[in-house]
Amino acid sequence: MSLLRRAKPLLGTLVEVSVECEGEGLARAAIDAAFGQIATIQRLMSFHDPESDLSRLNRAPAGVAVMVDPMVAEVLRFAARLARESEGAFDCSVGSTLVALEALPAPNSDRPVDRPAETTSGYCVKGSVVVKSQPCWIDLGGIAKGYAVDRAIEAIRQIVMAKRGSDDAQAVVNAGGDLRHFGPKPIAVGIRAPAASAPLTAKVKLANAALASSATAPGEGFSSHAGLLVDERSGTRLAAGLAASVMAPTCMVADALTKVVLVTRNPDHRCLSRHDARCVHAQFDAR
Amino acid sequence: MPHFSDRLLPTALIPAIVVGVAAAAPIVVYATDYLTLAQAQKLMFPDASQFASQAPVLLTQAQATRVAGATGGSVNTSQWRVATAQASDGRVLGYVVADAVIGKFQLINYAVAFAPDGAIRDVEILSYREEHGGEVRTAAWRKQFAGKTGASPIRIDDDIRNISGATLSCTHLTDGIGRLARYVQAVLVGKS
Repeated sequence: MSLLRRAKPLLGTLVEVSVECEGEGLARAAIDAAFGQIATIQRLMSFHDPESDLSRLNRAPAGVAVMVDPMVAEVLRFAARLARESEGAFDCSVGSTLVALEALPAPNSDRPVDRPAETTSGYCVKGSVVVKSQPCWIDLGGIAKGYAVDRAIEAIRQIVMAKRGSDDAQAVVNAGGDLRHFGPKPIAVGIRAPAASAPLTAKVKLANAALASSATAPGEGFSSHAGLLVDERSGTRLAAGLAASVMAPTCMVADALTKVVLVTRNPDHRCLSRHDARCVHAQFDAR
Repeated sequence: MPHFSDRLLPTALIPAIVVGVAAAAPIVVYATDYLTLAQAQKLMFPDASQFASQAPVLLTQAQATRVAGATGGSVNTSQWRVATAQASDGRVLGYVVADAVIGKFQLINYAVAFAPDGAIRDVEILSYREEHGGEVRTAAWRKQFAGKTGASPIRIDDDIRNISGATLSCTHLTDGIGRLARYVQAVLVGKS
């Protein structure tokens, strides 16, 4: 068995891929495929990159059909579903609010009008075609990292499982704390409070599942844009010092549900059980 | 249905800054070595037959200003390691420059591969170290240890290979890569 670990700066954080399987060549191919997937998703879903599918969609006027990559459509579909189920607690059309708070640069297009709080996501998706129902700027910062982890795990699985006798192959993809594991041996993951550089608040076991954490900036002395999360229902930013970690079958679900927990301050929100997820750590008071 | 193992929760949630509490959770620091510089070079330029190391980088004032770019600040080239990737016939295949950046609590060693025209081809992290007694010293970091005693030792927990918490931002790394790219463009390209 060969164990290989590599890390690259992607998705605005450090992404580490670790693969243990029979043969170093196979492990290397699996890691390359995983990073390839993540780089592709970054290209498609970046708010900052004017060439991304997401930026094309953000520039498009309401009512115009925009063809996007099937992966973008898949993320937007789940985001819309979760916006509905969480009654707007999760909302990826937060772009204009984040631009107003100077956390994101303004796209080169009409600034969305303030829309009344509602539980729709501002767009509808059919196949790979997206139509915005009203001017809005979509930001996938709260979900795309998790999705990228899922796709990377899938890429690894396809490569190592194609080889006979790979039943004991293991892999972990960790995108700055949003991670997913597959393989027969569970791993221990430490959960760390946002303000802390070192103490661990909890330790969880992860077995063929995903864990994601989100936190708002711990407060004093941190840049105002790190860990900026907003409640789109009211258009306000969340208080400092909040943190939530969610375990779920997929990292996209875990990543998105951390926002539901933080915005509603409810670690038992019904969206979690609906998606076979649970909150393993939450902190609602700045410390 | 996924199967979740039982989670192990501590008997009490530990606040971020423990003052004067004995037997607090150990301070866990996290460190990983991914690749040596030689391994990264080989990975980025598998066809190269040799990597010619350059002398330590010394920049003129004008070059340093260019390399610093819009963010300004001083450019510390003392830890840069620059190598030219060459084919067996001596052709230049590109460059690999290694550097280190210091984040809030961590030291990241990384290497960037450049094409002969200076375009960034690839980035690999060589090692990642959280502060545990030497490299990085900030007031914020030291504050973590206020009141800590030998009862909360600093150690690397071998059981834990992954940490989940606030997402690590890699702004420093992005800035560092930008500086290296401007250096390669300004100094190396067209000089081979």
